[in-house]
Amino acid sequence: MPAVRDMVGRRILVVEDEFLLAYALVDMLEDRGAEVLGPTMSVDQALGLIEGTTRLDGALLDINLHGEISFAVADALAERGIPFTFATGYDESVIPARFADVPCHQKPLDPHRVLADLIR
Amino acid sequence: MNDEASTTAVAAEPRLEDRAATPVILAVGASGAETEALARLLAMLPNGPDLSIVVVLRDREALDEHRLQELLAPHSRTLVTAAEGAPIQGGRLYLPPPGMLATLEEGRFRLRPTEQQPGERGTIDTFFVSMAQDQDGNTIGLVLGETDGDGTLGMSTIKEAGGLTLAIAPTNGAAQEHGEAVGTRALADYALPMEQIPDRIALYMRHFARLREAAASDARSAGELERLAHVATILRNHTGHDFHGYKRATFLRRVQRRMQVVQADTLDAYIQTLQAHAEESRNLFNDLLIGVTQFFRDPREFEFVQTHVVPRLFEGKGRSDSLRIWVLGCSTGEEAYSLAILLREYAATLTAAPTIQIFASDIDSRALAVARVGRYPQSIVDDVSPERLARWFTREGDTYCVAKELREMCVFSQHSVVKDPPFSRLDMVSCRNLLIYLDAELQSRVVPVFHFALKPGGYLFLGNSENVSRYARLFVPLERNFRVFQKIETSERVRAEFPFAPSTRSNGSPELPRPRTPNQGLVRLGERVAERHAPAYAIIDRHFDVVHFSAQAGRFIHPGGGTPSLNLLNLVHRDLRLDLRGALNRAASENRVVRVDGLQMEVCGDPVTVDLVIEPAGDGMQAPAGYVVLFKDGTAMPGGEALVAGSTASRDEHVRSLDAELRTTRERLQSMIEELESTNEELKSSNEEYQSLNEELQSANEELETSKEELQSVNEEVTTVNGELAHRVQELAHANSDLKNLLESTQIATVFLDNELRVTNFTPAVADIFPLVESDLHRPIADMKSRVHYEELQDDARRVLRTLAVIDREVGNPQTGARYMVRILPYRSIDNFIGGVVVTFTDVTPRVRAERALRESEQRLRTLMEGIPQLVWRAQSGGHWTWSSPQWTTYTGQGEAESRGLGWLKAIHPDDREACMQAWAASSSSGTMDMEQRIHSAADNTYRWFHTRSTALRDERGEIVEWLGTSTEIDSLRRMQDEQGVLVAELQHRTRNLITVVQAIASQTLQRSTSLEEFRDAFNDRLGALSRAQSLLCRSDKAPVTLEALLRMELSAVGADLGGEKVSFGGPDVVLRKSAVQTLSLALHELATNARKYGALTTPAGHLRVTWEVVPDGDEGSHVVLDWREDGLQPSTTGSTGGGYGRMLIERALPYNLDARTTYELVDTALRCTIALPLGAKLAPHGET
Repeated sequence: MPAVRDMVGRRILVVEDEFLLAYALVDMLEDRGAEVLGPTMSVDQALGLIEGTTRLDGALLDINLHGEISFAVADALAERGIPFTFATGYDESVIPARFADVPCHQKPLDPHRVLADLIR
Repeated sequence: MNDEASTTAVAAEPRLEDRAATPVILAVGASGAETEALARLLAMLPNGPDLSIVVVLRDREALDEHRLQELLAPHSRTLVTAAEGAPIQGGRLYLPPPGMLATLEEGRFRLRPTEQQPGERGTIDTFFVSMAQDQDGNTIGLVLGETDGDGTLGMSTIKEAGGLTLAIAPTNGAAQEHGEAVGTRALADYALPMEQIPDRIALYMRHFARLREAAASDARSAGELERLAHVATILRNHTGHDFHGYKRATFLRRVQRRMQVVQADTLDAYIQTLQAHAEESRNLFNDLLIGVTQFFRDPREFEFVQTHVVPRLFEGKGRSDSLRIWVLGCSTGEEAYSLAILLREYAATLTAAPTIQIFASDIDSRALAVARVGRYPQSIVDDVSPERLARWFTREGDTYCVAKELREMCVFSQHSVVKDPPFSRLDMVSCRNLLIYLDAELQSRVVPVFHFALKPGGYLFLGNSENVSRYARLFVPLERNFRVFQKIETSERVRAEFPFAPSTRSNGSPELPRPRTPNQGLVRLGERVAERHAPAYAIIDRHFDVVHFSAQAGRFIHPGGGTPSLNLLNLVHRDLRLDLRGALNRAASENRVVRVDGLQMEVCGDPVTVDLVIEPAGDGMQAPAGYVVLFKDGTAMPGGEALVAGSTASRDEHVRSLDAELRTTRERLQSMIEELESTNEELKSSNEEYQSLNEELQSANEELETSKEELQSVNEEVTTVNGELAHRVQELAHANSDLKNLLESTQIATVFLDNELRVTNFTPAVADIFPLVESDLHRPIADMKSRVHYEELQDDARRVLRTLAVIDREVGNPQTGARYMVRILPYRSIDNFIGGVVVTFTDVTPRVRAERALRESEQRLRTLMEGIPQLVWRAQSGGHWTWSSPQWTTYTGQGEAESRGLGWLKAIHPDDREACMQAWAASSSSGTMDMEQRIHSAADNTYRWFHTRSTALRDERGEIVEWLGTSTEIDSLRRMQDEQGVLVAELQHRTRNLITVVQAIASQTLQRSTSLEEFRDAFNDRLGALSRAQSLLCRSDKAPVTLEALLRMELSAVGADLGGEKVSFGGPDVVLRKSAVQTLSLALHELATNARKYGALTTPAGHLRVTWEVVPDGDEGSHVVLDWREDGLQPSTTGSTGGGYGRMLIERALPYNLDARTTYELVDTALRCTIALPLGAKLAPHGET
């Protein structure tokens, strides 16, 4: 199935500790023409990537990165006004109130819905 | 007779107009044990709406209520239990509940719990008094049978208030005589056989109704005063007591009461009754005498008596002496008992106190009946201090009984001071408020009687408005402002005029008793004549003071001027004075008769010759006590008479013969004179003898009379004591029969032993212990074969006799297995001597069994409570613990005692304490408590969670008695729950991750598959690898996943022969991180699958070699380096597609996920792959995701 290249020119950060999933997401994003930043599985690296880029159009953020919680990354994104989406294997209840407006996707992810959120 | 005045203290006039709706109340007092008699009486009583019956029992507990109901049922009478606050209604038959003291207030019942033992509550008196005070006149008090004096006070109060009092006459009719009646019967208006009681009550009620109607109209009619005066007149005529001056209202009240009793509707009708029946006058008189007296009346006077008189009364008295007091007009005994209290209190401060005897008398036998019982209403608390109340009175219900000690000091007797001889040798007479009712004449008779009755220096105690100042010779006030007087010793004998004594003697001086037989007028006349002719004389004492003159002595007396004197020397005629003085002096010094003859004295100008004879009076040995001075007319003056001389011889002859005759005559005369003189002397001495004899007789007579008076007093006293004794004997007989009944009815086996351990008495129940029969009395107990095993009985009894300490023991009957509680007490006689021992055997078999069962049950319960892991405790409402189990102490380290009350709160976590208390507060309504809290553990100094449950224990009324609770540790449960929650969340996370991985594998496999079959095989293989990895992970807690195990598993899965030639395999034991297992196993699976499909395992020359080693790398831990080498491959296989996914996993996923460094080289016929995997903790700080 030919992919719709509806994300051309967009730079998306992927923060996900499971390689297979990250790889699948990256494939999907790239198929649609997006430019992927990452993927990375560490908070430090993610913060470094955000710091190092001038432009970022969106981000997909796994909450638990090998036990490290990624809310620091979320704060950095929110500070810059960059839209992002959470992905987690846990309940939404772990998400702090300050991210109540942030879309959250339960694993296993539905790639289409995740992408739909990222396009927005 | 006393205290007529105090009747003014009686309550106000009855409010007749208030009565219309109230029924007449009949209170029946009885002993409680006489169920049958009571039922018979109650069945007979009228049953109408105008009569309300209240049954008050002395021993309510003794009543067989069920039986009584049964007996009453055929007469359609039912007992109504009097309820607190219920108004009393007509036509009902009330019975107060047991254990309650009933009174009446404003027509309503008042009940309160009794405080004393049954029989000591004064239940009858309490109710009677309250009823009389509450209801005034429309009350009837009826006492059935023997109540041991209970009801006496009540009846007297009812009478005072104008009600009717009745008693049941004994059926044998023996003791119907009024004088013999005792207690309540003495006070009753009528003592009738039971059959006549209902008629009498009906009569009274009819009359009462009529009187009520009549009361409004004619009570104050004009003729009333006149009629009352008429009544008083009749009374005076019949009884000798005058009530004319009595207060009209009081008098009328008493008369009206009698009118009710005799059913007279009008005063006129009553006057007729009075005139017709002398007995009625007596009854009215008695009622009028009901007085109100009080304890320590006039406290100031009593204080004076206490401080000034009582100590003097005891002065100089030892143990063997007695102190005697007479209380007149004692009425109901208050004053006698007041004095008794004062005397006792003082006597208690002395080491040797004399015997105190108080004779209390009154003419009203019914007041005395009350006094003898010694029971008084509660109002005496106003007069008696609390200390005295506690010391001298026993509280029985709403009444107070005087202590036995006081009662025994007092002897009450019926006595009229006017009619009966007095008591004698008294130390004090208390006669208060009695003299004021006696007129002057009676007083003048009574006061000397007191003087007679008192010992020298005795005291007279009078009422406030009384005085004996008119008898200043007899009594002197002790102190001006107080009414206590002391007897004055008078030298002259005071004639106490006894009512019984004829007493015609008048005062006379003992020196000159007069002959007492002047019946022969002639003799007296002769004496008078003789005296006229006898020489004048004077009797003088040793100081020459005249004691007596003879009638003729006047001639020789010529008193000089100046101060009058009795000295004879001053009185005697001047001419005789000088000689008399000389003669007297001589007589005094020589103590003999002195004569002085021929003294000249001039009387009216004529000279008179006087001979003086002075004779000392006395026995002649000692100095004379006095003198008798005789004044004799002397011989004729020698020159005063001329002789006529004769002249003739015959005459001479005649003269001679005459001379001779004269001489003879003279001689005869002389001899006669001498004879006469001697006779005279004899007569004189006889006379003197008679005089002294007479004197002696006179004194003897007086002595006898005194003795007689004293004897009469003693007799009176003996009669009184006798009456008292008879009364006591009667009481004793009652007590004895009570005791006998008690002994026979009691189920407690009792044996009385004397000091030698001989049987003196036993109860029938003792047959179970000793085979005792009547004939065994006075035999030693040692002779009796006991049925119980009690060898030590005699030793114990002797020990009790020696130490006077009670011994308690439990013994058994080996045959029957019965157990007895033995108690040996010293037998104390009334006067507190030890007369042996009392041995009681109480059958405690059921109790012992029950106790044993209880003990065992308790033991089981305790074992259970202390054995279970829960902390157990008991508490009162509000969480006040009363006990905690050892588990509590073990767990909290807090002692049992410390945990009591709210002490346990200390072991509770501070944050939970408030919740605990709230739970307790809420528990009282629900009866259960259920909460969780943290309790401190002493062992590890932490708080653990406990689940506390408690349930209230309730009594039969549903009231919470206590709480029983347990605290169960739920800390591990809670922790496990928490962990479980974490686990569930983790599981979910892992599952989702796994699915995500599966999803990724599926999508990757799909991308790389050319056909569905290919996809299916590859996908299934990969899922199989994933599944194997998961199963290893699941077991990883028990068996850590090693690299070797993982390799073996994956190689075995592709059918590699690990022991064969084609595969060489080896390395050290390396435990893998769990997070590494999944990705690593997928990568190894891809390598193994490739080797199987395209690599070393497919070619004959192919060889697979898998080795690994651990390489340390500085501080960060170490790496395991896996070397996967395949040789002898077909060259064609190198480009196979299968390696694509595996290569991606090795080259990208392992570095990404596990921070591994990997190489993958395929050169010609060889494949070499290395994976260097960090073993340190760096990548997995939280481990297990």
